[in-house]
Amino acid sequence: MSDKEILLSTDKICKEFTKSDGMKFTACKDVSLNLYRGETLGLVGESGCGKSTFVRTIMGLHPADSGKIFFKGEDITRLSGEKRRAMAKHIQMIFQDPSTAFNPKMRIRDIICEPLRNFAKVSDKEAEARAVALLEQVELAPEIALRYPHELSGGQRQRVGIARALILEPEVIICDEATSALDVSVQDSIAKLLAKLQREKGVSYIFICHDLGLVSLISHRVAVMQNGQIVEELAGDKIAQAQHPYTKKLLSSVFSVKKRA
Amino acid sequence: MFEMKMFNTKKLWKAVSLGLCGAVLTVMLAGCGADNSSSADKGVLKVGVTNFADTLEPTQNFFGWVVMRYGLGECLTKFDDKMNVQPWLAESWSISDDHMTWTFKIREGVKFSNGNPLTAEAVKASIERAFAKNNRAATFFKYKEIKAEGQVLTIVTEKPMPNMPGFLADPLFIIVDTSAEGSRDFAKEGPICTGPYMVESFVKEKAVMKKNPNYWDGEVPFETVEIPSIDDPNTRAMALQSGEVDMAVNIAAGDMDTFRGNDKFFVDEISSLRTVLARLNHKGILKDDKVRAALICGCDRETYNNVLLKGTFLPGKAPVPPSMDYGFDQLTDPNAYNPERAAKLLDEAGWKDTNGDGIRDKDGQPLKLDFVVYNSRAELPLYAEAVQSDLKKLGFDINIKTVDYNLVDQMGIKGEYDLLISNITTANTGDPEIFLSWYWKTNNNGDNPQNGSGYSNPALDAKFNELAAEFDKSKRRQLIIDIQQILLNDGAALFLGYPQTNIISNKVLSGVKMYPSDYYWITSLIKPAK
Amino acid sequence: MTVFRENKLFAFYTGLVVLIVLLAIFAPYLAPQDPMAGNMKLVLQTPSAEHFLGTDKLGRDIFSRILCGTQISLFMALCLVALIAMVGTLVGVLAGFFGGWLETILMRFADMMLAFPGIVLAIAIAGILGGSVINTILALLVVSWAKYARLVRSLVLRLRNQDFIQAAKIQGAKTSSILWRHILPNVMPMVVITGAMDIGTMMMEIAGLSFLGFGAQPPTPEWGLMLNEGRQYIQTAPWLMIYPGLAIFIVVAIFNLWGDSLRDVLDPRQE
Repeated sequence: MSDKEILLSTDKICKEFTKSDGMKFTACKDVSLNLYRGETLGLVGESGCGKSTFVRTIMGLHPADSGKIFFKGEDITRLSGEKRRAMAKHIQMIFQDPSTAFNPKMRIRDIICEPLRNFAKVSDKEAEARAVALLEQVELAPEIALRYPHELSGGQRQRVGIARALILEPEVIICDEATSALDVSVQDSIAKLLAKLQREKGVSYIFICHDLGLVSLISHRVAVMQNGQIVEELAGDKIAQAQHPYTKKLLSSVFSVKKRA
Repeated sequence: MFEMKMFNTKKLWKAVSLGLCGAVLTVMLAGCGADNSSSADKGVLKVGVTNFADTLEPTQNFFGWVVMRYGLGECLTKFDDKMNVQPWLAESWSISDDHMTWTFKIREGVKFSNGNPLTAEAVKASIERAFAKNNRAATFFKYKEIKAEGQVLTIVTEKPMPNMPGFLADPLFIIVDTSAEGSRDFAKEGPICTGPYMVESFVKEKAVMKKNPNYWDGEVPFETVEIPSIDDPNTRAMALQSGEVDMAVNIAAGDMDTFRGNDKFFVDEISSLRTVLARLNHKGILKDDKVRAALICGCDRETYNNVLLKGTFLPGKAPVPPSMDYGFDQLTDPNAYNPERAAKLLDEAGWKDTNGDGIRDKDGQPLKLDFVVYNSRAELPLYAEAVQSDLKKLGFDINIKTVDYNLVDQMGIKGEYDLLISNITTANTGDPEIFLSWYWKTNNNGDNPQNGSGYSNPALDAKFNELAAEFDKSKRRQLIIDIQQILLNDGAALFLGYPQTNIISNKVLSGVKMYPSDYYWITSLIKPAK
Repeated sequence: MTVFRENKLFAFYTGLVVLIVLLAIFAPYLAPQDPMAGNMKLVLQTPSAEHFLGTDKLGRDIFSRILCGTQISLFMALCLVALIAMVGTLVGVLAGFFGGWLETILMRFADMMLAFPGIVLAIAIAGILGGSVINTILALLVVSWAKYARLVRSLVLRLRNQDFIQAAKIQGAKTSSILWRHILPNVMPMVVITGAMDIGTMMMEIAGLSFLGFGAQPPTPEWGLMLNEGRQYIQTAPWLMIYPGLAIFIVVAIFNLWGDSLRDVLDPRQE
């Protein structure tokens, strides 16, 4: 694995927030990670440990206080304007809550095609065609294209989220707790879909999750985060051999750890 | 969501109250009777008026009228109910043979309300003060000198002034104690004068007067007089009906029936000296004689006065009202109501409706005129709308602009109108000379500021000059008739009608009387009926 | 159309509103007489076969004037509400979405307008600019936009942090696209409902200003103005006030009730 291409790499990312009472709160401290092509990097930790802040900093939603982010070797830390917009074609995201991730007033077809429309004009007919193609890829029926988000189930919506993230054919997709709001059985099918898409398209994932079991199932490598810092990095199938006390604590509170087949 | 529903109920309520206000008020008033016990029995007189005066400075604007109406100020002379000049603070007067020197005998024993005696010197100071403070004084007469000795006042005029005693009855010449001015703000607190009442407090909306202990002419019947200014004529009528006031001036035509024939009230209705007219601007579109003539003969003045105003006004024709003997019936109006003639005149003048919008036009300009109106007198907007309606049928587009009364004078002076409604008293000096010359004598570089219309006729000016020096009564009468005929022939203005004027009092009072000259409202003759 | 079947009350009120709108549009053809033409011989007539609601002080047919007044009142109110909604929404979106000093300035300004007694300001503005229909609309616009700005701003603040807005940014949407595609469509339903509910209120305000002499000028057959003109004759010819008053009451009530039921119909689907 070490001779695979590094797609995304962060170097000592730090991010601080000032709370309403004036106290400073460190969300990320010296976070350095690498993401290789075609791999899934799991990112685990308890709620509030800084996982979401970290990925949003990568996406450019928050500016990092210090540190650097590299994509395919290029420094994208301080990108803005048109260049930042163009990054959308390379890095995308799937959100946790399917009920707030979509504009309730837009049809599925338009939701999926919106990323396309940000960069080029797309007629309604073409949009429908593209949407249906993607719906097929995420194992949804074509009629879904004309529906509204509130007409779909949680699992269906999450598949739409995946379709939307795919349409610009990015190299990296960040899944921010993408399965956490779903029923357990649905989680399983989504995870399988993600794996299938990775095999077909070679897309890399950063998979954020607080469920260690699920993470170990689908990640090639896992990074453990505590209070804004990475405390341990492991291969996905070697989680049980964690050394760091925090990781051990996380492990012990999971009911079972599934071994990869 | 709950508070939204409550909020809407509030709005509904608002709609209910506004919409039903008319019906509710009607029901209320129908059953409403006046208060039986009146404050008049307790020494308080309440008078409902309309007041245009911002201050009580008698030389400012026309505010002296209010000073006199409120029973505060008096002049050397006054007018009786036949418009004859009578003595007041001057006991008698005489004129020298050369007609230039007037000698007035100032009444003995009269005191100002602060106790100071009324001497010829005090009168002289007061008159000189009026001349110093207001240019209008000089449009009455100009003097070479005024001499005061004891109780004898002598005025030497620059030119012979036949109407001198009448001039001095004008509220501009109210006699004030100039020595009191140092310690008193005449404008805010009222001047020190000789009338039956003096000022306790004054704001435009309400004045409270109290008895003048030094009054020279008999017992002052009331301790206190409260004078609220109720500008809206209907509200004033309602205040009188409900007993909020015991007497009220100038009740509007629409409300008169409520009081005529009602045993509780005494209605004193007389022909006034006033004319309601629309001044015409001779500089704009109305410069054209034919257009002016068409405008005047397009107005059905008979109907306005007999029907719309229910006969409380007499139909207009000449400048001077028929209540005075200046040839009203003999004068001929070339522009009597004749809409066919009006249409023909407009065609001849080149005004035709070329674009079918109902308004005539000429050279791309529509026949649009601004009619400036104020509405502190109920009949004025009614006349304006009736004129608008009649002239619309002839293709005029009349735009009614309502302004505050206080702006009208300046707009008239500056000529900022095409038509300007005015309700003017024509004989404020007992003789219509001043009225006629103020508005229609040529204004050369501001020497006659009231004539802002641009109207000028040298033949007319010649008559005015003759009139100014003529002492013979019958010759004056003929000159005034000639002047009026010229104005009618020239289509100088639109004379709409002549108001009856009225003052109505609850029968708990006696002595309430309306005078033709409109200066005397609150007098010492008004007292509780026994 | 199922909307109407399911909500009988809403259907009923909508029917009434449509009726009023039709009356307004076709008023000039429906009116038996010319609302401006007065026969001065027939002044202040009581209601009769010829003149259903009597004649006014210049002999004009009151029924015709009230009908034509519908046109004026309705269109003025609609115009006004549309303008207020547009201005308020624009300000609210800018303030809510961009925040910072822009928001502070705009919202302090809106607070000022809200704190000011509306009618007083409207009278002052109309008094300075002169009385006319256009100036009334202007005056009421200045006074009323702040409510919408506040409403829209709070909606935008809630929306701004929702995931789909973040998603839009991530997907490379330009700010203008975000505002146009995501913010506005989610803000408009509330604005439309509020607007519909305000039509009645605005009609009242317009009538109120006209009643005071600051709005429509004679000879316009506007209901508020007709109320004012009828005051002089309230004791001798009360129908001059009763009918315009009734017209205001009925139309305003219908619009308020309709707006109310519209909100009930639209709201459940919001979330």
